[in-house]
Formats: sequence, structure tokens, C-alpha cells
Amino acid sequence: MRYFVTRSLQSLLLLAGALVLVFFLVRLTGDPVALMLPKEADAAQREAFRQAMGLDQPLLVQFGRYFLGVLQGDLGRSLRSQQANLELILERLPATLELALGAFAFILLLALPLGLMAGMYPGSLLDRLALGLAFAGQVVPNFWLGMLLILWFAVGLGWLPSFGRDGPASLVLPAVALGFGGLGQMLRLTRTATLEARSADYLRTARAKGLGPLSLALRHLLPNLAIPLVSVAGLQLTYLLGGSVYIETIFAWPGLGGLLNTAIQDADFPLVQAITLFIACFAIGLQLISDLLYAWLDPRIQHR
Amino acid sequence: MRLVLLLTLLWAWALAQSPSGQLTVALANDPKSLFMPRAADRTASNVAVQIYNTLVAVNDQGQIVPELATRWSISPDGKEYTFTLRSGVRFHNGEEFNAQSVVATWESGQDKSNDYAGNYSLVKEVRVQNPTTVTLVLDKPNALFLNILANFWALVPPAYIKQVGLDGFAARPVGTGPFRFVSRSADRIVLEANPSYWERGLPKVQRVVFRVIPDATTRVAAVRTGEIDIANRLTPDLVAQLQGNNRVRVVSYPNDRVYYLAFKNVEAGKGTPLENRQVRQALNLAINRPGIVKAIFNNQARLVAGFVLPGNLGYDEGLKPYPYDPEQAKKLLAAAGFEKGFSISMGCPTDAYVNINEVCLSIQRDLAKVGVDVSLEFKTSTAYWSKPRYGAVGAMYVDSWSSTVGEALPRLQGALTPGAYYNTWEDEELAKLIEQIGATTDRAARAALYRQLQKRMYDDPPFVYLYQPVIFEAVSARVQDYRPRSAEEYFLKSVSVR
Amino acid sequence: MPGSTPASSTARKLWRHLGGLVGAGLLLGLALLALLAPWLAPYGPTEGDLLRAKQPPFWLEGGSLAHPLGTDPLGQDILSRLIYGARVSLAVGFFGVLLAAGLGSFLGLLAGYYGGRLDAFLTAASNLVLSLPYLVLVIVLATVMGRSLFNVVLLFGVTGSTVFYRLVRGETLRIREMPYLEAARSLGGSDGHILWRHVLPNLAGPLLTLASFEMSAMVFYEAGLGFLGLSVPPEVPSWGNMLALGRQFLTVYPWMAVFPGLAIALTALAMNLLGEWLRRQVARH
Repeated sequence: MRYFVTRSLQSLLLLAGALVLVFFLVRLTGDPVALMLPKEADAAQREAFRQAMGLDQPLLVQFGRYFLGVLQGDLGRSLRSQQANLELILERLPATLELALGAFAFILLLALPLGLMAGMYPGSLLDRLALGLAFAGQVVPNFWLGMLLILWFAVGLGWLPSFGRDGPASLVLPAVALGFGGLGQMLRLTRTATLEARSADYLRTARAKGLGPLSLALRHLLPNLAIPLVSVAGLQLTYLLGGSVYIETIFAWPGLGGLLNTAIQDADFPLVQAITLFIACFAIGLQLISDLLYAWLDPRIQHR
Repeated sequence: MRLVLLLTLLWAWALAQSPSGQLTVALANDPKSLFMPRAADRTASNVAVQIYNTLVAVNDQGQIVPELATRWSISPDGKEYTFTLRSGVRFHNGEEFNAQSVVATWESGQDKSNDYAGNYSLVKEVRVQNPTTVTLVLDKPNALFLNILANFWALVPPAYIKQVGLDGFAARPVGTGPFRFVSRSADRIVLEANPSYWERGLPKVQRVVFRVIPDATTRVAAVRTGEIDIANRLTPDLVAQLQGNNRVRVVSYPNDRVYYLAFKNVEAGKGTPLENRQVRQALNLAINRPGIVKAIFNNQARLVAGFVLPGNLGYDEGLKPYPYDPEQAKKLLAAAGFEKGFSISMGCPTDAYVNINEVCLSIQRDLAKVGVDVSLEFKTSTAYWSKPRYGAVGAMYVDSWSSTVGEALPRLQGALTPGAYYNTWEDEELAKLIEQIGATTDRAARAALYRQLQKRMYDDPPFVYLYQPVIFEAVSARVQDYRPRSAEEYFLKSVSVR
Repeated sequence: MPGSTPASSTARKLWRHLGGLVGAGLLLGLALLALLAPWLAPYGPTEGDLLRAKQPPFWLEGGSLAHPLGTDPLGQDILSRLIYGARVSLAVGFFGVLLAAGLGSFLGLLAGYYGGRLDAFLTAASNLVLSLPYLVLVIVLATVMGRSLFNVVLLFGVTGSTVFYRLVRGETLRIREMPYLEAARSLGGSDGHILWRHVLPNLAGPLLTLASFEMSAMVFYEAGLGFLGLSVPPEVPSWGNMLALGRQFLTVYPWMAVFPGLAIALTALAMNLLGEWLRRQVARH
């Protein structure tokens, strides 16, 4: 129980840190009134805008307002659309979650069986292939892979949609492009865990009892994998969240990553700030959940 | 029996008349707002314009025609415009259209939070004579006032806008137009046919879905796969791919837009070689514009000689674009005292225009050949246009300006009126001429003034005139009667799909 | 292994070190390309003629050996730009890691050795940075800082220092309690001397391993920033900039985006092979 409390407090501190960091990060620049007023707007209009946004106030006052706002769930307004940032973010969140979970599902679908088989038969051709695939994931940039996938499967073969979020078929290419980079970690993890478990006594017993490799894997290995899997799931999802900036841009996927890129391109600083803060909180929360789950599954950790 | 036949025929006729099918249109960027005074980019106004009507409209021939006003008269001093309003028109929410709507449009349009407030505040007073007669009073005569009405004064329902506020209205807009707003999400805007639209037989499609696809490559791919019916802002290279594809038709038209390399003689431009006329002439000669048009735009752009384009009022076809002549450019630079060249910075907006990155890099390379060392400042378009007098960039910058009124006045006023937000070149003589054009309501007299202005802007160029682009749109073969206008304007009410 | 002949054991050894050798070889080759670019590249990086723009690689119809990998929209030779692009990628990788490792190790040594408030603060700061999605952090920072090679190196150096900090601090904490350090201390060695002579050498293996993986990550992230238009200035031939320009022509002239991507993948491959090999070597000791 103590672990749960201290770990949660730690996350709270991290959140506070992220809050401060994000505020000053965006203000490292000179004038945040790099706005999207049209050509016809005159100097007086700009000044009015600056005042309306509170950007003429001293930095500390601005921070105070920002801080109080965040506490009340107010992340400010987008300069470009003049909509509440939080609203824009929440509107886009499901798409990004769908993409991240799709990518995670792709990783699991490929990494679990391959890792298991590789671990069962180390040194085999399959093992080599699996390790090669894991390696490829580390060296192929996902934004490049995304382009190649569009080139081959959407434009070339015409099998899958090239853009947008329109049903399950449209999820395939972006999820693969995004997940490919995270494949290696999960594959290695599964393989190592399988290797370790393989030499464990109870498995030897089980094998002696005549269980085939498949039922061995299902009955004994998979449950054992749950613990390390949970421990990396948080990290993996955080990584996927970051990668979504490229993938959503390439595939015109209407999620948070694409929104962040647009906001950056538009110099929409309040929105950039809000998205960064939101993603930071999200990542910190994910890590907390993942750690707590891990501790719950593996009680030894609480005494460390 | 006969009656049954007649009824069946009637029913079939009615069916043929009622709107049907869905039209899917790609947007190059997420529209800023669907409230007209805030619809700052062409993409936004192209969506918004489907929802509303204006008092007067511009037809395909560029003439002003009645829309929600059936008649109008202008006072002899050019300051008072009196309109007779169409009766029996209702907004999508059931409110009746009348003189109060004009007042509400004027009042809501001037709100400080609007980008285009100036297009409403130029009217000093709105006088309601009776529910169907209204007079707009201007401070001073304005040759383009009816065009401003047609482009910006989208009529809004007074009770609804009062009830939900401007932000609420922008989120769920209501007009009298051919389509009514259904929903908007992160990547699409859905409109549907207004069943009680006042123009008989219009609109022809039941649903219009706008989908945001920022990437030109993706837009073309989506048209090819049939996911999209209409896509615009395509590069010539992409369009070449569509040749021979019988499911997609390519529509192209010259855009009423000039791309130019602008100079400053204020702020960052003060004291630079750019103040010298020979230097500016030399730069006009030093940039390989024919090469840019040929290689980057595959010849799908037009070289221009000034700010007034073919088709604009008063266009002077006697002026020929400056040729590409680096040797002559070097001579002029030497004569101006810069035989060793000079260093200067050049701004370039990265994301707004088709192929603009290549154009800027190409200019940088050409100028290096005559000894002008250019440091490029790539900025995103919003940052680029964020400061008065292009304060975000240095002494030279690439820009473009379009016009929806059939003449060059808006871009001339914007770029060359001293003190205007985006003015960076002060030239009193030019400024006087432009002011004179704006106050001259007689077309022929205005045309003569335009000719005088062009000559002056050619001999002593305040810009390097780069090119006039050709807009490419890919249109699915199932789309009928689609006719975009030269400022990339969409009017979808008479479009139908098979 | 019983019964194995000397020849096969040599082969085995070679096989075991093959990855490391290939990685080191590739990296050396890339470094040479980068250093000797002006002599090796057939054209200058911004040299080109608009009339020869958009040419395909030599094996495709319309291509020629004058431009073996084709030209870009400005008529610039893609092969030459790739060779010059190695300079940017390797500079960011090398100097970024140098700064990250230097800064991270220095702070990690201090924090691990002395502990106290400094340790608490630095650890909290590094945890904070590590808890955010790295890419998002880097993108926002790059936007705010502006486009230059120096800024990119600084950006990766500072943010990347957190992982080095974490490694070095942990190892220092562990080594601090070792008996031989007690001995060194009782012999009157100064803190600096002990850190330099006894702690740091123990860290060399893990540091080198981390460095090669981080270098590959930085090459990746630099290219990614370039792809979003947030890295070095646009006229600079970098693989990320080439990808960004090439992406607009992906379906028409795919080579403009395919080759820079290949170059990135190859570089990452070299660094990962080397890192993998180092990791195994360190694990064996």
C-alpha cells in the first residue's frame, strides 16, 4: 500500500514539473503573438488581440492564470480556431488512442507468437528471422516506412485506403507503420522470457508429462509473460504517442499528433502548450498505471 | 387512369428534381471558421459560402447580380446604398429573413474578434426603412463596395445569433443558403441540402462532405481511389499522373493571384541596396523565372509583367515580363555600385503555396550567380504574416496576393498603401494613384488609371513579379456542372453527381 | 567446445564479431564519405540546373549515369546531396552524443558520488524529461529554438544527457560502495582523482554501448525533425530535408524520398550493429 501512495505522489510531482516545464518551454521564444490574423488585420487589432490573450501581462501573472486555469480544466483557447483547446484535444483523442492501440495490437500480434517460437527454438532459422525483424524495426524510420506503405499498398496495389480514418481498413497501414518501431523491444522481451521459462523446472516437468509445444506456450508461458509485458506497455504506449506525430501527418489521421504538428506549423502556441501538457499528463498517468499494475501482479516490487 | 399516369409522371419529375447523392470534397487545410467574418482563408470561405446567401452576388462573368436583394440604388454621392429585400426567404432554423438580418450581419461582423471586421465597419450606419427596405451608409465612396457585400456579407439570423453568441454561431452556423450545417469533427464537415431553399430546383446534391487532407499527394491518391470527388491545390506533377485516367477529370484555370518577391524600403529594408532602382531591375533580370515556370511548374504557370493580370480591369498587354538575363543584371548591379554583390535575407512561407519551397530555393541559387548572397528564412505561413510590415522576416520576402473582384485593386491597396498592415514599400506617387483608383467609380476612367499605374510599376519595380499560377483540380467523372472561379471559389449549389 | 578444429573456432569468432565488424566498417565508410564529400561527390550540394530537374535514377527509363540516383525538383544531384547529407546526420549523431554523454556523465558522477540535494534535483529533472514522449519534447523545443545545426546539436545533447545521467548515476552509486574505492579514499585520493581514475573507467563499456544506440536515435530524430521542417535550414542538404522535399513527390518521383530514407536506415543499421556487439562484449566481462 505504501508503494502505491509514494508512487502516486511521485507522479503528482512529475505532473507539477511538467506543468512548469511546458509553460516556459513555449515561452522560450520571443513574441508568442505569432498569430493567424489575416493580412487585412491592422496594428490596433493585433494589440487588442494581445490584450485579450493576456500576453501583455508580466510572465508571473501569466503563469498564475495558466496554473489556475489548468486546475479548473481550462487549457486556454486555440488562436487559430478560437475553440477551447481541451475541446479540440478531446475531440481528437479517440482517433489517437485507436491508432496507438491498433499499433500496440499489431506489435502484440506479431511479437508474441514470433517471440515465443524464437524462444522455444533458439538458434533456429525462425529465431534468426525474428531477431532480424526486431532489428529492422530499430533501423527503419517510421515516417519513411509510412510513405513506403502508402506507395506499395495504397497507390500501387490499391488494397488499403491511403489516408484518413474511415473504418478498420484505414487503420491497417498507419498502425503497422507506427508499431513497426516498437516491435523489437516486445519481441526480445517475449523471447527472453520464453528462454528463461523454458529452462525452469516446472516446464521440464510439464514437458515430461508430454504436453506439446503449443499447449506449453499457452498454459505456462503466456501467463508468465504478463508481468514483463505490463511493465513495458506504458513505455511502449508513450513511445507510440510520440510517433503518432509523424504517422498522423503522413496518413491525414485526425488525431492529437497531427493536431500538434498543425499547431506547430501555425505557430498556435496556446494549442501547442495545451497538447504538450495533455500528452505529458497522459504519459505520466500511463506510466503510473503500468507501474501500479506491475506492482500488483508482482508483489516483490513493493518491498524494493 | 390518366390521373394515375399524371401523378406518376409528376412524382417522377419531383424525384428527378429533389437533391440526391453525396459529394465529397477535399480541403487542403482545416477551415478556420465557418462564420464568414472569421473565415480568413479560401478553404474556410469555400465551405462557409455554401451555407449562406449575400445581398448581391458575383456571377460567373464577374457581374454583380441580385441575390437576397432584388433591387438596389446608389445615391449620387456614392455613399448610400438602398436595397429592396427578397421576401418569403427563411433561415435554416425557420427565422424569417428581413431588414433586421442585415442589421444583425452588420453588427456581428464588426466584432473585434473577427478577422475581417473592417469589411463590416466601413458601413457607418444601417437604416431600416421597412422590413424589406434597408439603406447602408458609407463614410466615403468605395468602388468595390458591392463586391465586398458579395464576398463577405453572409446574412445571419438575428434571434439565433443573439441566443448562442458568436462562438456558438461559428460552431453551428445557420444561414439561408443552399446547404445547411449538419456536423463538424476533426477531419470532416458535413452539410445537407436545404429542403426549403428559395432558388427553385437547387441544390442538386443531398449531402456535401468536406474532408481535410493537407497533403497534395494524398489528395490525388484519394481522387484516384474514388474516396474524394473534388480536390484542388494540386501540383502539375501530380496532375500529370491523372492523364489517361477516365474516372478523373482535371480542371485547370489561371488563378487571379500574383506571386512576387517583395522588397522593403521601411524598417529592415532601410539603407539596403534594394532602395536603388537599378538593383531592383537587376533582381528582376537575375531570377530564372522562365526556368521556374518550365521546370517547377511544368509550364503550368504564366510569367507576369506586373500586379494587374490578364482579365483584370485595365490590363496592359503591351508590357512584357522582364527576361532572364543574368549578364545584364550584373551590369546593372555594377552600375549601381554593387559589382561585388551584397548579402541580404529573404523570407519564404513554407506551407501555404504549391511548390513554394522549390521556388524559394531556386531564387536563392539564381541570385548567388550574380553575386547576391541570400540567406533564406523559411517560416510557416501564420508566423510569416503575424507581424505588421512583415516584421517576422528580413528585407526581401516571397508573397502572393489574390483578388476576387476581377481587378487588382485589393492587392494594390494592401501592398502599397503606406501604413497598411502589410505595406513594406512606400512610394507616394504609387499610393496616390491607387487611392485615386479606389475613389473612381467610373470603370473606363479606372481602367485608364490602371494602365498608368502598370507602366510606373514596370519601370521602377517595387517587386520582382514572379508568376501567375494555374490551379489544378481533380474532379471525379461522376460530378456534373462544377465550375470553380478564378480565385479558387467553389459554388456547389448547381453541382450534381451521377 | 570439444572436437572443434582451430579453423572452425576462428570462423566462429569471426561470425560472433561479424555484426560489430560490419557496423564499424559501415560507420567508418559513412564518416569517410562525410569528411571527403567535396572530393567524392560528383556535384556540389546546391549545384544544378532547373532544366535537368526530376530525372530518375540511371536504371529507370529517362535516367542517365550523369546522375546515378537521379535529380531533385531543383535539378540537384541526389547522390551528391546524400553524400553531403551524411555530414549533417553524423555531425548531429556524433556531437549530440558527445555533448549528451559529457554532460550526462559529469552530472551523473556528481549526483551519484555526492548525493544530497543536487542529486535529488537532477534526478527529478531527468525523470521529468524521461517521463514525456521524447519526440513531442524535441519537436516543441525545435520549434521554439529555430533552425540551425548548432541548435539541433544543443537540443539533442541536452535532452539526450538524461539517459546518460541515469546510467552513470546508477553505476556510480553502485561503485561508490565497493571496497577498492574505500581503499583509494583511505589512501587519501581526492574526489576528482577517484572519480576519474576509478569510477569512470568502470563505466566505459556501458557508456560506449549506450552512446552507439543514442547516436542512432539522434540520427533518427534529426531526420524526423527535418521531415517536419524543424531541423537545419532548408537549403542545407540533410537527409531529413531531402525526405521532406521528396515526400511532396512521393507518388510521382518516388526516388526523391526513397534514397534518403535508405541512407537513414543504413546509418541506423551501422550504429545498432555496433551497439549490439558492444553490448555483448560488455556483458561478457
